[in-house]
Order: sequence, then structure tokens, then C-alpha cells
Amino acid sequence: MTLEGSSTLRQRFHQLFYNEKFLIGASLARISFGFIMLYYYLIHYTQRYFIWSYDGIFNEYLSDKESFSLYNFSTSSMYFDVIYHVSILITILYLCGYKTRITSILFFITTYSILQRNFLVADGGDNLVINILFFLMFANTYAYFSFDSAKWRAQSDRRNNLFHLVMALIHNIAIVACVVQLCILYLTAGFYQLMGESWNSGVAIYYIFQVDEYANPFIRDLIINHDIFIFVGNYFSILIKISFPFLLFNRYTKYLAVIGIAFFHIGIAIGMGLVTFSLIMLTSDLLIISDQDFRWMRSKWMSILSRFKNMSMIRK
Amino acid sequence: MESSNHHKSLFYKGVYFGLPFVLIGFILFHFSIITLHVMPINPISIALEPEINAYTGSLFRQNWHLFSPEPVTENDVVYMKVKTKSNQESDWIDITTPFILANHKNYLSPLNRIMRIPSTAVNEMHGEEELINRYKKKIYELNKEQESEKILKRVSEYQQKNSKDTRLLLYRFVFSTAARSFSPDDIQSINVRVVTEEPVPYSQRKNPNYERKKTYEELGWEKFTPVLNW
Repeated sequence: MTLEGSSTLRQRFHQLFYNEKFLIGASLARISFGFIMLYYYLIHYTQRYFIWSYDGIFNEYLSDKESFSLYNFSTSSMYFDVIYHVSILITILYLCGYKTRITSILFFITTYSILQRNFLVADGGDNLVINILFFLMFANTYAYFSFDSAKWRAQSDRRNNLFHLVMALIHNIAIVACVVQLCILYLTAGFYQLMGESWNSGVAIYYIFQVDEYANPFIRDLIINHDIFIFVGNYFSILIKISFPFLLFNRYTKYLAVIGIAFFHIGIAIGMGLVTFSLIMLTSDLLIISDQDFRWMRSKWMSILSRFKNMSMIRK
Repeated sequence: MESSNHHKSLFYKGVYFGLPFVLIGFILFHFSIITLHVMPINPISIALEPEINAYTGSLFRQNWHLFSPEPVTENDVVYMKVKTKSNQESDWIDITTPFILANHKNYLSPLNRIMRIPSTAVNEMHGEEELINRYKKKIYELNKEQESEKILKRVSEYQQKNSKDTRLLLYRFVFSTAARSFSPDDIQSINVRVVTEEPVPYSQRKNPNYERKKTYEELGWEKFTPVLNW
């Protein structure tokens, strides 16, 4: 290999592993997960004792003591309140991106602790948030829209020292892990759908909408009375999940995957009322969008805005 | 001095070129285990079941069935009957429907999650038979008799405890709900009934006279224990 070739190879190696990527998506995911968990704590604020404390539905006997949870250390309601309120504070700090390296670890611990306490109110979104937040502890989620972002930019001259290089590498691998986790999720879910008789025969959506708990009554009438919606919804949900990992390999089909899956989750949020589940899934999909994609979207958005401004100026 | 710089440079190169491959190796290992953990039961996942479970623990435990292979199709409606200390019994009171109606009015409310408690508890209570049958069928197909005994015993023990515990959880939820309409000091015991309503088959969807089949299960009277109000 020539000296030039070796140098290009090294540059590519450096570019691949040591240039932090997907920083905007990771920062937006931090904010979104922070908001979702803040919503989770606040919307259940008056029901918190019933759902999670030892005086509520899970008494000392029924609590899962095998899994780790900060709430398991004491049965006192004062202790419960301290942990609950500290968790809210940590969530706010995390979403603001304050001392993010530390708060992301604390946020993971508090989120894991609350979501482990009551499986009766849980869903697949809670499961995913735990998996993704584990890897996000190792990622740089503070490069944008955070208190720490200015400090991060100021350190740009030190990015070639070994410590910063290792941190960049770990960030990139953590993002890859999040994306692989998402791919496994969609592929597995699609795989199970293929095994199901009602999914195969194209009527699973019809049957899901017969369950009052999951059926938005306005959407239910529309779906149940139109075979085309049942058919399209059924096969689209299988197709988008099975193809999701493969669509990510190409820059252009990747957009198809992201848009398709976004429509799918918006449909679930509205049609089935699984609000936080859909928000968590949509948030996780932010990690697939690259910084260049975000910049491109921003510039498109700005040009549309300026066009509107110009048009309104001309009218005036 | 020169030797120290040389070692430093070797260390730098080792980390710089080696660490990416170590981390990629870890990611490959981790997600291979996770794939075995989440995919349908197969000969490898059965053979490695204890190791996979030990690795995933509660931290990486996951399940992506998400309404598949077969989605939920039945409505489980929970009713309660309250016996007062003066031995008077109330009618059967539907406690599921008010939750669902309130949730339909506003998805951004605590009821969006609390509503799931009775239906999840009922599903968990009934989950045992289906799960064991599924394992039996699969293990029979895979002809792993020796391992199957151990696995089935573990699953059966776990499911029996789970079923008993979720029944208690359902009662605690009903106790809490009952205390909203009756004075807790006046309640002696509560009976719970689960009405399972089958769906309208697809072929009958345009038949307005089709009546859904219903099955009734009475769980029996349990002494009332005060539970914090939701």
C-alpha cells in the first residue's frame, strides 16, 4: 500500500470511529425522553402512592424484590416521596442538559426504578426506553440544546487527545447500539406478526379495534366499516417493521423507513390511544436521522419560512 | 525519556486501533444474546436458556410481541359485588367501562395507564395455560425432552405464583375502587366477576343482530382490606 493510500485509510478509520455523529438526534432524544418522563411523573402525581408506593396496589408482599429499584429500599412513604421528587428534579436537569454525563446516569437509574415498580401499567414503550437510555448513558446527548453545549464547543481544540477520542468512539458505538436495538425490536415484532393467523389473513387490525381499551371510538367506526383500511393497515404494519432494518442501509430508503414508521406510530397514538408508547418509539427513531439530515431539514424549513415572509411583505 | 514516549505511543496506537474492534465485538455479542432472547423459541435458545436469562437479567429483559402473533381480541370486563358489614350485597358493578369511557374522552390523563391495571391482571391470571401449552408444543417439536422437563417445571412454578399474585393485585385494585363509592368502614368483603366478551367475527361484521358470546368467571369473596385510593 502506498503512503498516500495508508493515510487515506487512516483518515477513513478516524472519520468512521472518532468523528462524533448523530449528535443532533441524540440531543433531541434526550429532550424528548426527558419530557416524556416528566409528563409520566406529573400526570400521575396525585395517584403516585397508589401506583408505586407500598401503601398502594403493590404492598410489600407483592412487590418485585428481585429487580433493582430505588423504591424497594424502604417501605416508608416519606422515603418514597423523596425518591419521587428527586427523580423529577433529575429528569428536569437531564432534559435541560445540565451536567449531562452525570445526570444521564442518574436519569437512567431513576427511570428504571419507577418503570420497574408496576408492570400492570407498563407497555412496550417502557421496555424500549430502558434499553435505549442504557446506551444513551454512554452517548453525547448534550452537544446541542443544552446547558453543557457551550462547554462542549469550547473543548473543540482538545478533541484530538486520547480521552476525547475514546469518548467520541464510545458515543458512536452507543448510537449504533440504539439503532441495532430498534432494528431488533421491529424485526422481531414483524416476525411474530408473520406467525399470526389473523395478521396473515389481513384482519388483525379489525380484531384489535374490537377491544374497547385500544379502540378510539371515532377511528374504530372508520376502520371497521372500510375493508381497505383494515387491509392496508394490517399489511403496512408488517411490511414496515420487517423491512425497517434493511431500509436503513441506503441513504434514500432510510427516509422511507423513518417516514413509514413515524406514520405507523402516529396512527397508534391516535387510533389506539397509546400516547407515551408512540412518543417513545418516535423519539427513538430520532437516533436514525443524521446531523446532515437535520441541517438539511432546517435549511429547507428556513427557506420555506423566508418565502412566506417575502410573500406577506409583497402583499403588504 | 525516549522509551517512555515509545510506550506512550504504543499505548495510544493500541487503544486507537484496538478499542473500536473490542467495542464492536461487545455489540455483536450483546445483540446476538438479545436476538436469541426475543426471537421465537428455537433449539439454540432452548439449549442456552439459563445463560441467556442470566445475561439479560431484568436490565436487558425485553419482549416485542406487540399484539402478535395473535392480537388481543376479547374484552375483559371486571365487575365487583360489595357485601357490607350489615350483610347487604350490592348489585354487580361494572368497574372497567367507566375507565374506558373516561380514557376515550381524554388520552392525556392518568387513567390512560390506570385503566390497564384490571385487564393486565386478568390477562396475567389466565396466561399460565396458554404459555405452558405453547412451550409444550414447541419443546415436543424440538425433541428436547430432558431439557424440556426442567424448563416446563420452572415456567409452571413461576406462572402459578404469578397467577396467584396477579389475582391478589386485581382484588387490591377492586378494593381501592370500591372505597370510592362505599364507606371503607362499612365494607366486609368483595366478590369479583370477570366477563369475557368475544369479538364479532370478521364474517359477521355487517350483521347488526350478531350477539357477542360472553363467558363469566367468578373469583369469589375476599375479605376487604383498605388500599390507598387511586
